[in-house]
Amino acid sequence: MTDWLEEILDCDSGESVPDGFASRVVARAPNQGRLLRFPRIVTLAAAGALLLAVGFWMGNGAKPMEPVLVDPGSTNSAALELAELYSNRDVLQDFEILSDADLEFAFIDESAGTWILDETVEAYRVTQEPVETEGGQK
Amino acid sequence: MTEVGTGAPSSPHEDPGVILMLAFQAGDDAAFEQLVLAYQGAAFAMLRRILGPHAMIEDLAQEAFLRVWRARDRYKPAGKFTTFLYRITYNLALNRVRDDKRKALYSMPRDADGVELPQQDLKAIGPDEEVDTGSWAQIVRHCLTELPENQRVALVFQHYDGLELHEIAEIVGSSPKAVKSLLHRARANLRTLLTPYREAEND
Repeated sequence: MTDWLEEILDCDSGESVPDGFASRVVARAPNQGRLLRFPRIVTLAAAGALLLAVGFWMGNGAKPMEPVLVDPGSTNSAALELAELYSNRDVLQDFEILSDADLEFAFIDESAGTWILDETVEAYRVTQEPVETEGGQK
Repeated sequence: MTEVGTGAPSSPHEDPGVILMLAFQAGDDAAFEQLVLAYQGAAFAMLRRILGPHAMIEDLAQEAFLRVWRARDRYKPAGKFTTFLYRITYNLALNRVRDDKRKALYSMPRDADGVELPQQDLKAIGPDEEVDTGSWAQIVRHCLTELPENQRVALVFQHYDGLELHEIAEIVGSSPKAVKSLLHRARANLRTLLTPYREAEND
């Protein structure tokens, strides 16, 4: 006696394939890359070379990252920075970069907050100062 | 080209899909189209049964065959071609299941145009209603989706695709013993789910 479960499962005869499916796949296929198989020694050598290059760059050739801030001596640039700070004052407040009182004082209007830019530039300069170690300056 | 079945050849090199794949690997691009035509039905059916009646599956089916295309150079026939294809398709389905779980709980199923589909209330055709054979397919698919994913997958592979325990184990990354246990629980659970509908039909 046939199991009724198997009979009921057979009621699901499958899924119809959309017209043109194979054509669409074949049309897309040539645009695919091919998975190339490199010998393991080649991939290991490539990884080692990459590590050496990164190590050299970090040890000898790395330039300090350029500061995002513009030259604070440039009044035009400072004005643009202030405008951006003013327009993003909500963000500054949300992230507690500045207190409510600071914001209230600094952003009475767009031109009142020059000290904010000075403070930010100063904070950046501190991060760029050489760190003193036991054996002397780094 | 007619679609191939899943009968077990005595060696991988006698499997129709393997023969086509090796021809494709040797440079016969037309063999790839024959592969798609031969196995597209199986791929669609498998995806539908695993992902349920409302999932959009053509993109996954396309991606499965495109991965076959990309794997041309490194393909090695270790078994039936369907095992190779189903492993790819299963992984894609698994990723889709996991992605869907991360989406909003109350998002509605949508059709290919993004229009929300009306919710099918299976109770409307449930034990209190007359059941005709046309909707048994719907009932089966619904009940399959009620199974835990691993039980559903094991049952679909065995019942609809005719895979052996070791083949299912290879695809899902498990052991034949674990697959056997999953199948036993899947059938027990499915009987529980389907019995009310069967009894309603017999009344």
